[in-house]
Amino acid sequence: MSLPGVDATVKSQLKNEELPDGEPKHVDSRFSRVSDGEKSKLPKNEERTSEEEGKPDTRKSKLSSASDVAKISKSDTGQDGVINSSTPSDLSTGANREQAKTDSSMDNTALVAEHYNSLEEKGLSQRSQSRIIFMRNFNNWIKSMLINEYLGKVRQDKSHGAPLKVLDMCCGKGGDLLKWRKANITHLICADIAELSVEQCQTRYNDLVGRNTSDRGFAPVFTAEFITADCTKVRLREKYKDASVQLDFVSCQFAFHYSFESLQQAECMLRNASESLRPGGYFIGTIPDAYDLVSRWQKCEGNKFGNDVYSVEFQCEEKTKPPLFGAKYNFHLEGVVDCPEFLVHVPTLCKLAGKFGLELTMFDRFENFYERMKDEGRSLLGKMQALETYPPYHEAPLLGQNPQDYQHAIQYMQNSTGHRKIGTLSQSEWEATSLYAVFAFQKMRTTWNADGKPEYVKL
Amino acid sequence: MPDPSLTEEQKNFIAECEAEFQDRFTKNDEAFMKIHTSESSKPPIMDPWYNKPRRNFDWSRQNQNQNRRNNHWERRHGDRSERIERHAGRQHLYSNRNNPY
Repeated sequence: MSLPGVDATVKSQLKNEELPDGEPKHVDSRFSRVSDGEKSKLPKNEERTSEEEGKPDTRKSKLSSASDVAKISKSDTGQDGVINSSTPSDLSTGANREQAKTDSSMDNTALVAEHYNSLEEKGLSQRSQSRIIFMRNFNNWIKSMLINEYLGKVRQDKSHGAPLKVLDMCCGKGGDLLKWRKANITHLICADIAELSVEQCQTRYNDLVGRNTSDRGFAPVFTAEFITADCTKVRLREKYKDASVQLDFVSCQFAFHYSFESLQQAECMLRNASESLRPGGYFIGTIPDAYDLVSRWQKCEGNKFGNDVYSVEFQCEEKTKPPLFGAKYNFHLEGVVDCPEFLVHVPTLCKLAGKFGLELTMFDRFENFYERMKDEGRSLLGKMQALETYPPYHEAPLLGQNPQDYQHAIQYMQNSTGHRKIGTLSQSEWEATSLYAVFAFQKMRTTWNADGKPEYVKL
Repeated sequence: MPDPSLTEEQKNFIAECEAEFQDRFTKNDEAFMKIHTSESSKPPIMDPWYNKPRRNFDWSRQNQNQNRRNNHWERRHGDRSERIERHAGRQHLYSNRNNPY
């Protein structure tokens, strides 16, 4: 899932709404279905201001005059042209693997793609009434801080003005585009499993470019390419416009855990994250903390736990020994995600990542990451409205309805003097978001041994 | 139950992990128990918090152009020109209406 925040993004972006009630469909049929039925639901113009609607033509003409934009628009017509026209681009580790896959595992990824494809953009009014808006904003703040911290590290090794290339794996609808813009990167590769999300991402990107062509004196918006592919099954490198590209940074927000459905998928995902990343570059992301998930699972009766904003239902039997891969649970988050997900046992992840030259340099639960970043990110917390104001202003009543939601705030206020306002999250939202953790891997230096196999050396 | 589609190397990897992490999620798993036994954390509190009541803005849908005037983080030139335009338009209207001739 891509949680909240995301763009929920992860995915941002994120992705809202219920799973369609249909049976799981195979990948192929899914896309054709989407292109017929769902596109018409896309309220493309609904949310534009009338001012913008009035001048679509001028914007387009600006677009076509910018040379970098022209390059981009090519990318959606066909990315595979140059590189491997003979290689089936959707096979990552050899032809046999895909065929050997069981039907049931096909269904899971199809389900995820279908879920995100089925999400409609909600209207503004519905959106601002979201019960979990502050949690989503909070998650976005976490992503911003994480991206800025590690892009900063990546920048240190580079000379001033050197290009900075980024892969956004599972970009969703492009909820992080503005973060990449702020970070002033040079080139972005967006990949996601859901065709509709990628389309929306591209539209948002074009809007971003359109807006910024009038900002004379500012650096041009990064160039971008867009790929619709299952990052757990497809070797992305074959789809890049330039397969020899060296990336400085890879981001995968609220999505990496989908790959732990099977070892093959996890390997494919890690290969995608690692193989184009330059030594010293970072692979960062956000995933649920398996220890916390299993802990809550063991503490509850049955296989389901949660509150009024989220619920988790495990689909496997063994509470004390879930499998390393394919430990499945359904994650439901109010209006955002409702998808099968998989536990990511971090020591297993580290061991596997090592095979791809990735070394874990940081793994921090959201609560700890927040503590570490809250001073530095204080003003951004406010600007992004990442916390809810307590006691509430008259115009903006509290969103949590549960009496327990603000106990911590009431207690805090009792012990403090003055009539200040504080920023906080409701208990329900915090229980959901505190399940998550941020991670950062650094790419090691590659050497090749006598057998032609890669060996990795710490930097 | 090893998956028949796995390669030898993959089977070995799983076997290694199973051996190395056989205590995962049990009381012998130190890292797990640290989470399991700790009290669940309380929501963050930022004090003081100066945040004017604005329309609830969904940051995750940021770059879709609505709510532009609330969006201080990403202040764009568009904001300003839009305001000037509006103002100029009104002035023009007024000056017409107030023209004594």
